[in-house]
Amino acid sequence: MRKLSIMLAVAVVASVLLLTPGIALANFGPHGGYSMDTDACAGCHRAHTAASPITWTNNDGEQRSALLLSTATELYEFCFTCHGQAAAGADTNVVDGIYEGTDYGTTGMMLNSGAFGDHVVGQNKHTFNGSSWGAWGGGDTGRDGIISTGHGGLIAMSCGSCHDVHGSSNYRLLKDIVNGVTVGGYTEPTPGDFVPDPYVISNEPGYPEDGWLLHEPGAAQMAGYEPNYTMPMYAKAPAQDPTRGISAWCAACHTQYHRDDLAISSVYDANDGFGYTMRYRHPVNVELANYKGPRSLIITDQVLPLAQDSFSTTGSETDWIDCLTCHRAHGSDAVMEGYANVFDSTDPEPDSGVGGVDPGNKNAFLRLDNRGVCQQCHNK
Amino acid sequence: MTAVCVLFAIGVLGVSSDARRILGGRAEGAPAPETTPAVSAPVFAYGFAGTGESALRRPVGVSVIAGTVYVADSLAGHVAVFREGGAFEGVIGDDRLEVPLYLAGDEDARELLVTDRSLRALLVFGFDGSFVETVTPVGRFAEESAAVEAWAPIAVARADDGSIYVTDVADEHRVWHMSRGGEVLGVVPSVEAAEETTPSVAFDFPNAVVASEGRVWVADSNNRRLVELGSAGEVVRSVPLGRLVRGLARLEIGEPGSRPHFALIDAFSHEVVLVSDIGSEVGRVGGPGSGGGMLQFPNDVAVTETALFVADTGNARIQVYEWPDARGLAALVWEGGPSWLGLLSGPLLLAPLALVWFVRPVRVVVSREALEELRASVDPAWEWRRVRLVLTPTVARNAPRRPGPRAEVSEFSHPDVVEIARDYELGDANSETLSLALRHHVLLTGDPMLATVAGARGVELLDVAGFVEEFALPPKKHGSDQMERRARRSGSGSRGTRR
Repeated sequence: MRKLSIMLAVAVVASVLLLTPGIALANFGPHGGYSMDTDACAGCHRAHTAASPITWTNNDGEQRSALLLSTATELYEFCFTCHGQAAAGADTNVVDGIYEGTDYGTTGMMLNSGAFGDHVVGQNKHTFNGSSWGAWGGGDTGRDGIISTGHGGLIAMSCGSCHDVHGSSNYRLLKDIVNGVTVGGYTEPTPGDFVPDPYVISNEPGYPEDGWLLHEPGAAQMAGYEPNYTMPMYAKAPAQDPTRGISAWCAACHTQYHRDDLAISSVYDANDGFGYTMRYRHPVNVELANYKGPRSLIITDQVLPLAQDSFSTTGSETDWIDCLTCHRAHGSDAVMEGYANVFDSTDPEPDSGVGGVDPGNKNAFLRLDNRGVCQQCHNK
Repeated sequence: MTAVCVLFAIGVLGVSSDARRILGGRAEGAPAPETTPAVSAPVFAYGFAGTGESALRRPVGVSVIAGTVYVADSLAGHVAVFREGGAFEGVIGDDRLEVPLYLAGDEDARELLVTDRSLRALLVFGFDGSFVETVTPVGRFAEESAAVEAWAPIAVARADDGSIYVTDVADEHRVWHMSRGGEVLGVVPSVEAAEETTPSVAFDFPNAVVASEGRVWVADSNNRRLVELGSAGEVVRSVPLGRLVRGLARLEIGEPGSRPHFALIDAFSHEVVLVSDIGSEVGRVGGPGSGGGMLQFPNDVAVTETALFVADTGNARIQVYEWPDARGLAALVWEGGPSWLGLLSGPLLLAPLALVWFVRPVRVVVSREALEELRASVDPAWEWRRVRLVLTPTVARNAPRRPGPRAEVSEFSHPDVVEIARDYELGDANSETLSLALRHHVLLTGDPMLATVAGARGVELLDVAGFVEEFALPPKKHGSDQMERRARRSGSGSRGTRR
């Protein structure tokens, strides 16, 4: 009788387990890897009755309804429901810029991307609330980024300006088309066969260096992927193509900061008082060995994240410098003082700025106070 | 007509006993209901948000204890305290809390349990605001400092026996059952199960837990379901809700033993949804917006005997909904559900719809030449029985308007017309007319070819004389005509002159 009871109990428990619905993957949550009979769409969208006026921008720059649930008027409200300050639906608290989980980073540490919250970074963040903004160095003349002089080629900035919540070919859901510029995506060599063609990849364990696949194969990739939200493990551009990588991705808006011809100078207006003239810039997507200075660059400990062939806590002269080596993507609490806080580049008076780097009078989302990012490598 | 009345009367008698039971309630001493009670939805009563320095900034958790409303404000970093009416009383934990999330009350000990997402801790405060202690699962972690890494409590509930349930989103997401002192009484899934490939249940951000009458329910938020756990931690029931469930509170409805009901927060639809433990929805309040009673990304709900208190996070306020009926949450209780007699006879209440048959007009399709002949032959003073001429747009174009019965223009089926025109070579106008006649089954025409084809296709035919005889009511013959009509109905029922 006792054996029979145990067998019955086991059978009941097994039945309950078998009837328990499948779980969502905590890693990546609802972002991508959808099966062809997915129920995930209905979690956020309504095909005929969507009440939210939030739109998305198609490849022609036209605004189309995102058909979202809720009456949220800005996308960040939707995203912050899970990724907000209390982070009640995700471990990545992008408001405080803190990783709240344990599995994919160091608990309580700042996210690789920094923070959005006013109480953390003040105005030193990418705009995310749906406002339109110019991108410094934007457009053929750089004047798209100059709002103050009326040249602003404005870009509506929200979470969805940079991220595709449904997944993309790129690292961290970074969009395949940004500001009308293709910076990733999928080729279709045969109908229905979508092959990722990413611009941005990672050296995190399990990261698919060929990019994210769609549907069930994509979900299988995610299952084996171990992101690290507090330790940057940036990779060089796919196939080490210097016209790609995160620098090229950022240049979809900040046009003059990295160009397909890899020129390290171009004529544009930076709104710093010197006008429309030749501008010279720090090279990106180049190896540290490219620097032939009196002292070699510091490469033995990786204070700044470099793009590597494979992840290492110590740098190498073959590592690349790119945008994220010096800047955080979301926002930074770095403090600018003295000559790092100049209002007018034509008359550089220390501490004459409003708290930041000329010409934006912000900290330019630099990773370190003042010009620590320069000194970390150049050791002057 | 008589039959209709009889059927309707049977329907009324059948459902009246059920109606008396609904309206009269349960007689004193009658047994408790065994089925699902019907729950009336509360209505918006008022809201409050504090003012000045007491203004709520990001209310994410709410609990109501003995007439006092405690609100966890994650941005302000404290618990704001209000009277039920919204009068501000003060704050708790200003110097201890960083990002408070959810809370629960221990009325016996006069203490408040608060989880903090940033501190990864469960803190206890006295109702007077004094800090009491931090609770961690005793014996599960080698060192106290290790607990900070090992657990991240977010939701907390106090059971009837004084023990507490805490949801934990560190590593494997779990539900801990502990004594108030932190002694671990159980954990789901078990810590050992983390080593196994198939744990008993896998939670994904369980945002709420309710412990009541020895049963435990967990709002498994990102899995969008409600999970009931048994005393040994086994899954009793897993109910997919398809909602991003955040707050969860049990409704005090029905009698002991009746099916449990809950108020749950759907953060994405901005609603409070009232559901049973098997997922049957019985009501909802809120909806998206910033007006009174509307919600914007709500996150938590608390229930009292008479009201729902909702943390309206996006609008930075508390919204209160009250049940209008003095009987509170159990405003409508239909004991035993409908009777068999009621179920069977209820449809008979629709019998009066059959009267439509008697008053609906007869529709007669008319061809062009018949319409002209009719208009030319009738007296404008005549009245007409319930008849309606049906014309194609082609016939209606430039057709004489009066005198005669009312007419209406009807569209026809183009594929049918093409087929008719091809098969019978009637021409476009007659083909259109015939297609309508095939739909309405009666045709008024003087065209011999059209009449022949229509008759062959089973359409009843009328000529103008027959139509007038059937439907016209010349004034001088009005009285006798009614007699003739009655006689006709009781006789052959043929219409006019059949061709």
